[in-house]
Amino acid sequence: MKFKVIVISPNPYSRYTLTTIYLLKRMNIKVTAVICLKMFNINRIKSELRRDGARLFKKIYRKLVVKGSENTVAGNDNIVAYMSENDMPFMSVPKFCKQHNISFFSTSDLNSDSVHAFLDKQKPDCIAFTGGGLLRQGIIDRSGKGIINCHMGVLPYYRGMDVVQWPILNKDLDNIGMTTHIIDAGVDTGPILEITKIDPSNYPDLSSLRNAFERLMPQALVRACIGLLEGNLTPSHQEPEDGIQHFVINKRLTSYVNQILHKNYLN
Amino acid sequence: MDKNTTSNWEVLINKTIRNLIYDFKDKNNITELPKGKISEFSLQQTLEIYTLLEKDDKKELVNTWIEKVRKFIEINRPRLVINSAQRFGGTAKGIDSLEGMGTLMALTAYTKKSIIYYNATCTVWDALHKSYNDKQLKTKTTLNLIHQVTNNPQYCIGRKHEI
Repeated sequence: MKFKVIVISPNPYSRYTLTTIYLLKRMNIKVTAVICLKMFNINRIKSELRRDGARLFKKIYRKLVVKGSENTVAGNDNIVAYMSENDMPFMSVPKFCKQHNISFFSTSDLNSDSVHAFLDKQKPDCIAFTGGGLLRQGIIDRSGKGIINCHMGVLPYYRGMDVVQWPILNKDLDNIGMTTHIIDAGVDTGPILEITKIDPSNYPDLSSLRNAFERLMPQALVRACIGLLEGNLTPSHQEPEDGIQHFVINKRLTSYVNQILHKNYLN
Repeated sequence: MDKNTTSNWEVLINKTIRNLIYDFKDKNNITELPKGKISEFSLQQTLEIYTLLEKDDKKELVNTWIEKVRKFIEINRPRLVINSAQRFGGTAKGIDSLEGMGTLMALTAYTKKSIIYYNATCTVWDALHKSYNDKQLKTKTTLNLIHQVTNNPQYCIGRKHEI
């Protein structure tokens, strides 16, 4: 296949990134480069600490020390099991790139001039986004058909953060799922490619539900990339007033999320 | 609150609004959409917006103001909880702004039965809690309202936010 795709990675040990590259390659899409955010730069730590607070330390532990799935819930409904089932050995993203002759570009700022210059040279047909923060117009303009993100909520209703939990708190259990969309300058307001809903009744708690998301997201992202490049998926426009932006849920609500999920699981 | 009944909530809300009306006799009705920064928000604006909300909770003017306040609180959440009122450039002034925002969020959360406004109310309560001593927290009606809403998420859970 003639398409060239670049993948953006939030860190060098991202299973989400790695699985996405494996899947793209298996679908005969040429991954020409990976742009990876440096883990330890002061601006990133500051901005993530401001956004996530104490949760950041848990996130770092899970992603960099355990290098695994959301938690240790038993079963195979997670990204670790998916990689193992599909013969995708885990290694760091730079090591994978070296083995497969993929350019690896490490940066402390995805919106920097050096990233712009790199993209001007690479000229990708589209970019698959597997995390790394907010993107500005400069990088968006250099992404070919667009930068594709897989958002963990059903758009346009659930924009922003903690959007797995918000529909549960609303008891809007038919609107749990993920949406692939093209990134624009707003927060999750870009054109929608595909919505994949998840039935929460199979999951007794939030951790197991989020694990299911992790397993499905690379598949949805790759499906959206191919659909957009081949012209089988038509992006559908969102109006700003179609949804509202959600933020981090207060700790007082955390236990209610699991209570609602557990009750739904037992029924 | 001893008993969590609707009538008790109505009494608490009416008392809060009555006190605000007493404090701000010469209120100017809000007629324009919010412009620029809202870090100088006040209890007087809370009263004005709530008066409009009671009349018509679907009105664009009211909802734009409420959303602007909610987003301000949520975007500044980590700084608010850590720095509390200093976020607004000074303790006394900052506390007034926070109290106005918190009261508006608490009134909206109860009136609209919406979890997103409950969430913002909790953020403000956590920030205010650092700025006040316990005696003040117990005696002011606005703070009591914010506290009561924070302690009663059951009114908002399971009610889908209507856009």
